[in-house]
Amino acid sequence: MTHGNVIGKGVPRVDARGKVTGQTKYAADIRLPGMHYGKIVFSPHPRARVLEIDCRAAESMPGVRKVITARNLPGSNRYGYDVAHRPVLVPEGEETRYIGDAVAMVVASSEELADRAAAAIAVRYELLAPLTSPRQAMEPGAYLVHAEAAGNRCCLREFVHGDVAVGFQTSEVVVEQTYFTPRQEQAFLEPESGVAYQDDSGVLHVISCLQDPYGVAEDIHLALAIPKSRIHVKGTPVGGGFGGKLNTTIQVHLAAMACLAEVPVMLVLDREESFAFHPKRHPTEIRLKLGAGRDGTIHALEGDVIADAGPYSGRSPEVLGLTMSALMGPYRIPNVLTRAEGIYTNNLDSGAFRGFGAPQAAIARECLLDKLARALAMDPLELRRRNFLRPGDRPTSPMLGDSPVSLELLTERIVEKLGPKPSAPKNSTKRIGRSICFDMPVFDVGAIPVLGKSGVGAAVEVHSDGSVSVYAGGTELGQGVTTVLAQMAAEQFGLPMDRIRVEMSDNWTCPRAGRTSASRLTFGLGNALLLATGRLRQTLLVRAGKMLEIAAEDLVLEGSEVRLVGVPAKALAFAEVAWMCSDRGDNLREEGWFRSAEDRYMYGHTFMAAAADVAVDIATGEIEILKLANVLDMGRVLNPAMAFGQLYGGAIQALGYGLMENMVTVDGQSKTPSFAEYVIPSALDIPEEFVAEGVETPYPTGPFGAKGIGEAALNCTTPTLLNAIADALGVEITAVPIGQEHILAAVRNQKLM
Amino acid sequence: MTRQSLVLTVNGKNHALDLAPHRSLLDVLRDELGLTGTKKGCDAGDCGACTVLLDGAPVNACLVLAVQAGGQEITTIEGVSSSDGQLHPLQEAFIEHGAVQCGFCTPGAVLSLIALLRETPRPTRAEIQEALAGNLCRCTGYVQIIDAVKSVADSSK
Amino acid sequence: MVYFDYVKPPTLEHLLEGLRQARFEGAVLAGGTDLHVKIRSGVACPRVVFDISDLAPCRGIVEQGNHLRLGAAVRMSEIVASAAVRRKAPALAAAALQMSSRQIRNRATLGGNIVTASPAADAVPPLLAADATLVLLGADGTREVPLAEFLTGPGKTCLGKSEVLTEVVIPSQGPGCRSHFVKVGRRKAQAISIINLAGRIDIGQDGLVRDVGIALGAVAPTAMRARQAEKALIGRAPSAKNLAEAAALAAEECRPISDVRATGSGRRLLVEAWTLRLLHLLCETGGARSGGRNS
Repeated sequence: MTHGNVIGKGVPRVDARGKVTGQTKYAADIRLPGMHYGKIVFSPHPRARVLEIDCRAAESMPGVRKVITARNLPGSNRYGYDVAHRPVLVPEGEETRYIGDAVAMVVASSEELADRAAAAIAVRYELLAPLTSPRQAMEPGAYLVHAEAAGNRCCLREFVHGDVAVGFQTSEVVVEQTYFTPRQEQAFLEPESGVAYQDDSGVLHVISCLQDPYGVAEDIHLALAIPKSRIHVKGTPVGGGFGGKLNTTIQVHLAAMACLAEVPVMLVLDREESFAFHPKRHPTEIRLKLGAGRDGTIHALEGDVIADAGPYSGRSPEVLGLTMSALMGPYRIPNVLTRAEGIYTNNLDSGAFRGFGAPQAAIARECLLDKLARALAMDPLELRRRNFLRPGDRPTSPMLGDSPVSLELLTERIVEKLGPKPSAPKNSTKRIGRSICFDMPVFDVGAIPVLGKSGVGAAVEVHSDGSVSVYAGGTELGQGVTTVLAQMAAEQFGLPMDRIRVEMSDNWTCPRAGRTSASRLTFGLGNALLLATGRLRQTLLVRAGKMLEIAAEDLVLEGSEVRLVGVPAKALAFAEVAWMCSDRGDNLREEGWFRSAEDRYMYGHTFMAAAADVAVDIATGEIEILKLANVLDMGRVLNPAMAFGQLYGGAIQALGYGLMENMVTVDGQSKTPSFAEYVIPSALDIPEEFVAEGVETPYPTGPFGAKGIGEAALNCTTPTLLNAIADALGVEITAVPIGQEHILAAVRNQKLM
Repeated sequence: MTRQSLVLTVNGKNHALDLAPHRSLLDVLRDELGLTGTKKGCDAGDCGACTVLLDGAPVNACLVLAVQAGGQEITTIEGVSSSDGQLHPLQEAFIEHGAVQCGFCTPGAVLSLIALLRETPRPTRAEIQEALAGNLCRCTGYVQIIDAVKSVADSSK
Repeated sequence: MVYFDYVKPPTLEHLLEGLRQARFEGAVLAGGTDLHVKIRSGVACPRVVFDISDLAPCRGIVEQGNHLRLGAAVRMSEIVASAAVRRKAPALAAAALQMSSRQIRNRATLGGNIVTASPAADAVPPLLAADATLVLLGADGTREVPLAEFLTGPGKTCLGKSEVLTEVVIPSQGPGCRSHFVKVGRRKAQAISIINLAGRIDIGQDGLVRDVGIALGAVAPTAMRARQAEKALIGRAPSAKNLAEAAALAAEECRPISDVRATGSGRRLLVEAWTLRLLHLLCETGGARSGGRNS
């Protein structure tokens, strides 16, 4: 392999030009001849029995092509990841489970007419009392959101390691706290959107922003009984996903509209619909207990997570599995008992969001570690270091893995980046706080333990003119995977970036690649691509060897040529070799299939340190983030600007999580239905100084040594900010988000003025 | 409802239109003129994805009626690069500094910041943050966008 | 979504006549940052929309004797840019600068911010603290109404259906007087205020408070004057103790509710803390800053 011409370099994103000029076509930018517009009628009530749906007025409106209720739908009317129990449309006689449940749909010749027709559909409901908290839903005798789920339990995950009873017995100091984390909305800027049409051969094409074209095709098949051979799902450039588009969003509805109205249909949710519809980060209540010796050695950890799973299962079992696993973090803990339970309610739905359950765990773990440090009167960094995993250790987690441990290196770097602690001006009401926290983010290494869904494929094709196509079924969410794959192909073939085209997110043209989640694409697709390019390189080298009458082993691919090492004159243009291969009938398309050697529960782990200096004004409650530093072990940095972009972006989402964001529901209704109410950080809210750095501990099986890094920054930045604030004030923070008024209340309670 | 005839001047080009008055400038740009570079993120003036320049000043196109914009010079992202495809220096800087991720906020952000650079060719970091504050970005954490603007400002004389 | 006619009346007379003919189904459009959202969500359904954004009598910023007169259709960006406002009504300039985003400030108008009657409207506390009055034009001529009387509840004013707000009249701030505005939001831009407040203080040669106005927003059905706090300061020295006492009174007399942005008790804490900070800023030597963000 030739290394380092494009890999690790500041190569511009391949999709950047289209995006800065506005030429990139997102799903809502597509225009098809004869295109109609769809509108979904959502239930205004979190829980109600649908008595009657009267479509007559809507049907008689001009421009209305089709009005659809559950009666019209072919197939099972059920879909959903994990458990296919989500109705496409709630039928008459059945109950709605949240305000994102749909009861009817309209297809009309314009967006406005579709809106009007949807408003003209009269639905009679029998209102029923919703379950609005997990605690209420767990009470004996509570109504069941799903009849088959006793106690409204969606899932229960448990992990036992050692013996916690013994661990706590031998502990000299025990601390315990219950933490509350809010419902966080992905707040991607592009609402759910797509177009769908049936072609004259009966194939259904669904073109939409999504994170998993294969899962979407599966759901369409499940719900509408369309043969899989006739479902083509094509992902568009995604205007932000962060997990919110991981499950099927509007695509089943869109498919039904196109099939039943027999016209091309566009469907775009408005912001309020989007916020109500897709699953968000689980709100949790986490009771966590740590026991340690006087010297700071942790003996035992016990954790209990109760999460609001919302109305449907979806990703809850997987997400909460990670919450349960991530409670231990990058620390050696000999005795562990953790459990995480997801409970059905009629609140907004919960599911995947960058970090996938780990951010909640990181808040509880890192905040409780600081409490333990206070109880021990020990420096919090020293406490953490004493309990770090050591080189050669395997993580204390059901998610097995053997990543090289780089915690001491991270510590060194983060301390260096942080510099001396600032001091508050004299006679000021400002107090300075500092915190350093750690995390062990996970990424999928091709063995997500879901039957039949592991493994990642990618294909590569060299054309007869020497240009290259890569087919990769992952999705470009903005994370830059298209560019990384192009870099890998360019590196492998010794070609410039502009000779590589990458086609992504298409269940027909791309080998099965599964979902875009778990920070898995660079690793999984990258490895699959390297397998494919490796074989194709061999084909090219062998052909070139024959042409030059030189052994293939002595040839290299570089500078758009096939060259004899050390003899510049002995070279053939790459394009010439490609043409010859094509002419001689060589196979110029290869597919790579990657899965990890071990089958189950093998994960990649990486390590992250975050640090913050904050100034908190005890007179006003104002929080200033003076400095935020993040250091992440990236394995290998493939593209610095993009890698750091993941760190910055993740950290600011974490800042929002800790300091401002909360999607509030009251009686199952959203109280934050717009970007005016659901507040995410603006450009003025970022830290005054923001440092991000990558360290590189190559991951043995990673492509070029790379690790999955997309989600990492979110996890431990939030507790770092919380701990820095707590440090400034000498108070404990147990609920987020924390605002000025909470600071003032804490100041008053602790009499800090 | 009486439709209105008007001429919209978009990126230097005149378009004679006959419009229902309730239609937003955003919808007319996207649906009548095919200028889909202006994005609809919220339709309520909260996200800034639909930012266009109206006589040089950034506004949310979703909060302007198309009939209000007659007689004004409208600039969308499609009008930012020159006709021969030469990018604006700020667009180049966005690419170079990794200021683009999902790209949905990018057109609006570019326009807000071009307006800033016209007014204030050498903005401070705080001025850049202020000018960008109406353009929500969920991907980048804004850092590399600010770097991109700084680089353009530093290279200008 | 409703369909409506769009009219740009050339004169106030045309506007009044139009409103009369539209009966109760006319709406006045100035900046549109609020009206468009209300129309789209079905909260407002006008049959005719009258655009006053270019209507000359609603447009200017004029210094007239001891008053500053601002047209109702003056945009926030124009207030930010106006040297006269910065000099004569610095708290209003500060409020305009901190309001929402540049895109919104380029459209939103002073009149719109008042007539919408949001308890959290940022332009209102500075005007209330300065004893501003509003000029309302109706079929029977004009009437001048103190802002404090104009606002009657959340989203409610005493504006008649066929009346329009044409001008805002602010008593100019004298040389010895200082004023300032503070906003607390969940983030630093584009935030609906959790609370906002404005203060105006005049300290005499004797070092005692001659006059003071403190207005609080988002802590009562309408923005309100903190009369008890003001009373506690007049005629007294602006000592740390007196200021703290006034701030505590302000927190006592406000009537905040709990909503998605904060609890009532949280708002009270903020009112006390920020009233105190505001008063300290006003009493510092060097005068009040006319700009800058506070939260």
